[in-house]
Amino acid sequence: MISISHLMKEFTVTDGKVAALNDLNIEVDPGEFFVIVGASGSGKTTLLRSVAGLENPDSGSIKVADRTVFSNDPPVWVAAQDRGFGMVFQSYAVWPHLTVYDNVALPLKEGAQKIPGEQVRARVQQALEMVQLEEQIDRPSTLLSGGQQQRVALARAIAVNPSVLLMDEPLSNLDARLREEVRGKIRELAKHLDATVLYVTHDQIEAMAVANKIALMSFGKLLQYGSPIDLYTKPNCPEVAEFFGTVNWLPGELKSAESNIIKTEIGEFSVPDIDAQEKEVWIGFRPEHMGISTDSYNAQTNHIQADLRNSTFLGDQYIFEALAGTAQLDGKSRVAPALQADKLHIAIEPSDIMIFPANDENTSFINTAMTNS
Amino acid sequence: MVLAALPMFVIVVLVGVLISISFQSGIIGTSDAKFTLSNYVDLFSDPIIGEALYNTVIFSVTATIVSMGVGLPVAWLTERTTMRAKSAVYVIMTLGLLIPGIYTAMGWTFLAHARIGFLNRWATRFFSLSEGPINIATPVGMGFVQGLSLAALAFILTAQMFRAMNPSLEEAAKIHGLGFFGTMRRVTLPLAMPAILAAVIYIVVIGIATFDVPAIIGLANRVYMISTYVFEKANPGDEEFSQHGITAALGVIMIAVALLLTWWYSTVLRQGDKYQVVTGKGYRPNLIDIGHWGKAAWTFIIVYIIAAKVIPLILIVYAAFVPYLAPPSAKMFSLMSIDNLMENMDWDLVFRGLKNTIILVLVVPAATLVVAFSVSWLIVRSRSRARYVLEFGAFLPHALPEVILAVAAILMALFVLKDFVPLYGTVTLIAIVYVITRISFATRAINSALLQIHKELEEAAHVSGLSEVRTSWRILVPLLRPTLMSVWIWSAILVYRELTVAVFLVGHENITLPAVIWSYWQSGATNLAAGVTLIMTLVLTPLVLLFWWFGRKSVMSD
Repeated sequence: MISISHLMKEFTVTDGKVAALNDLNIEVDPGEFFVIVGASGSGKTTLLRSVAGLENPDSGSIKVADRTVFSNDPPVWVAAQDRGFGMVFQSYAVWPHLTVYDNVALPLKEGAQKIPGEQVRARVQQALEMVQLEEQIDRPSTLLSGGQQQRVALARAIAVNPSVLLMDEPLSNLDARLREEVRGKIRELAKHLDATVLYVTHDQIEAMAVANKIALMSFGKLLQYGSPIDLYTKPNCPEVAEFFGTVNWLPGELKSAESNIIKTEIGEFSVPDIDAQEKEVWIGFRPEHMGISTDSYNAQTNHIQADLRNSTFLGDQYIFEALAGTAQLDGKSRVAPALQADKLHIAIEPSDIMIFPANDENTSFINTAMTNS
Repeated sequence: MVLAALPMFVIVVLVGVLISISFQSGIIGTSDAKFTLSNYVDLFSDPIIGEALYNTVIFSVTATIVSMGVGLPVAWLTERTTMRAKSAVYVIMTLGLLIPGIYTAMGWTFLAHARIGFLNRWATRFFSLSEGPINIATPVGMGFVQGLSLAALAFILTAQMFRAMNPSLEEAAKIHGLGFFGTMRRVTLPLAMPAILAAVIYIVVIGIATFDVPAIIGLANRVYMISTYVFEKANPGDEEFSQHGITAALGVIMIAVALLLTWWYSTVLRQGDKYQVVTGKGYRPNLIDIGHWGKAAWTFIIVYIIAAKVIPLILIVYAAFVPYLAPPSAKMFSLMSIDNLMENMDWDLVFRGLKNTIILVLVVPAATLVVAFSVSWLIVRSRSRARYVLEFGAFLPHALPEVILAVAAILMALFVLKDFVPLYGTVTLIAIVYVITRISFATRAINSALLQIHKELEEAAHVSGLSEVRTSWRILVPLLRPTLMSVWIWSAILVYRELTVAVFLVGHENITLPAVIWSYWQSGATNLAAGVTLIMTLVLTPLVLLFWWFGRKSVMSD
């Protein structure tokens, strides 16, 4: 549906140039809810705006449903108003001088489609019903609450029956409770409309909650894209792993070329099949994968003995900090972290362990991540 | 894009023509013209130029001292003390901004002219003096009148600064033991200095280039400023030829000086930003309790209003209805009648002036808005490098003295366009110059309004399928309406009362109403001049009320 290839875009800043998009390749399938996620400055908004036609990339190409909307060779440029997409903006961009009705009707009446006058009212009503705002139809848009304005923006975007729906941090201006509610609705609506959605957010939980597929960007580059589960459980680099949640990192060394055993300062870990090129590796595991053993456990591998530093009860779970050797470990558990013979015993499943080669790039990233936490 | 580039193009051509003619002598604009430096040599060897330069300096300095002397304290009182009825000060000062300098100049001529001035006539009678003790037709006297007229501007410029100043800086000084005067001297004034200096430079630039007050008061008495000197060279009377080469040479020098001052002005403004006095946050400063001094403050303001606006207006009305000019007395009041005006006025001329002025008021603000909107949009929204050029281009007319633009326009019409487009002596030529002089102000006002409008409001329209033109029309214009309206009316008022450019460019056919006043005044028919001024005021009043009304509306919509 949307195919982006070799997309490049540089911005000139005070001290030189910054690549907002660095040789980006993405395929979005029809009907997919595709979320682009990344920290601020990762280029995700630039990517979305390039697809919308609000940003002019330097090179590469963007095709939507086999129609090239941008390409530098041969030069093709379709203006934003001729692309026929719907878009929800971070600020909602609800036109303050118009009523709710006029906000939704203006694109229908004066946009590229030029819907005949007698059909406009029905289309506006239909769109407002979908977002449950039909009762506010004749109110001035400035009198609406933030959540309602957000829904006006959504109604305006879907009223034109777009093949592609673009959303730029649509929930970031809502309060936390409303955010969860609205993201569920957006997901439902997208399924109902069978639209292809390109959705930008900096919030990894929001991304997980709505996406069929997630692409993680960093400094203009695409790190990884795939299903939420893939990105969470099989990250292709430490940066992806860290982005989706806390990771406990340990430096280790492959015991032998044939075995799947990694030796660390706090014990040996058996891991799933790996194709490590180098001996030096980093292993990582998430707090919720640290199983508390209630009885004394004397397994040789995948077992950590640690000193419990502190433990906090949060209602649905405990979070705790433990020290094993020199390694500081963060844990989450549904059972209370209990001590056995003055030590906390922790077990980790081989399939829950992530392994990355200890090359310079990974090592420096992990060291920075560990000092920051 | 074309709309935005057009005025820049005209400005560049005008300046180019000015520079090129300043180096020509002989029959300018033909192949017989010689390229020489003689215009510059003649200019500097003219004995009057030295005098004019000296007069201009004295005049500008006096005008600045008087206007800041009134405007700055009133601004401080209004923004930082418990003085009462502050909104009334704003109303008075805004209206003051709208009353043209020629009113004050005419009124003060009636009052303090060495020979005919009423004050002098009374003084010579009561104290049996041989000549009047006050002479307004001196650089200091004219500077005083100009200062009265610019005080409203000084107030507006400095009041903004006092409003935006972070009060916690002053509070910190107070807590650490500085008294009221200590805080004032060591904290408030040093912090305000960049803004005050910027206002001073701004007013000095106006003082150097201003034409109307020096012309109304000084020209008949042969007291020249640079601007009136330029006028004399361009319109030397019947016997002599216009010395266009010399005017152009002087124009080039004035442009250089004006650009230098403007550059200094913007540097000073930037330095002011460095202090971070302006916080952008809506601080509620602690007001200084001045108690009974509030009455004194209001007395000061009222005296200013009477001296600068009320007396001149009353005297203009008086002068319009008396058969000859003499100090008010029972006899004079009995002679007052409208017949003098009705019989002696050249009504053809007045109506021609009114007609042309109305055409200009209808056309110029609208054209200014369209052009300024295009320029602003490109400056604020586009990311191309061309926007820097536009920004400078839009700023340029502000730096160029109107006198010089007018001279350049004449030269252009006379020597360059003469065979292609007969513009000389037409209303069109005046309209073009008016649009150019108004662009800086309009662009800056629209720029700041446009910056307030979130870019995504426009982008949402684009993505929804609206073209650029439709987006402007359906989204931007409605959102900018309060600003566009006030810019429109403000331009209309300034065009309506404009005297400088008009005096240079009008002829028999394209005369404007202010130029009619000027021609009567210049020929000594002061009563008729006052009469036309009265007619002009009657038409101006509804425009001013309209401005005020829209001004209030746009404040409310903020």
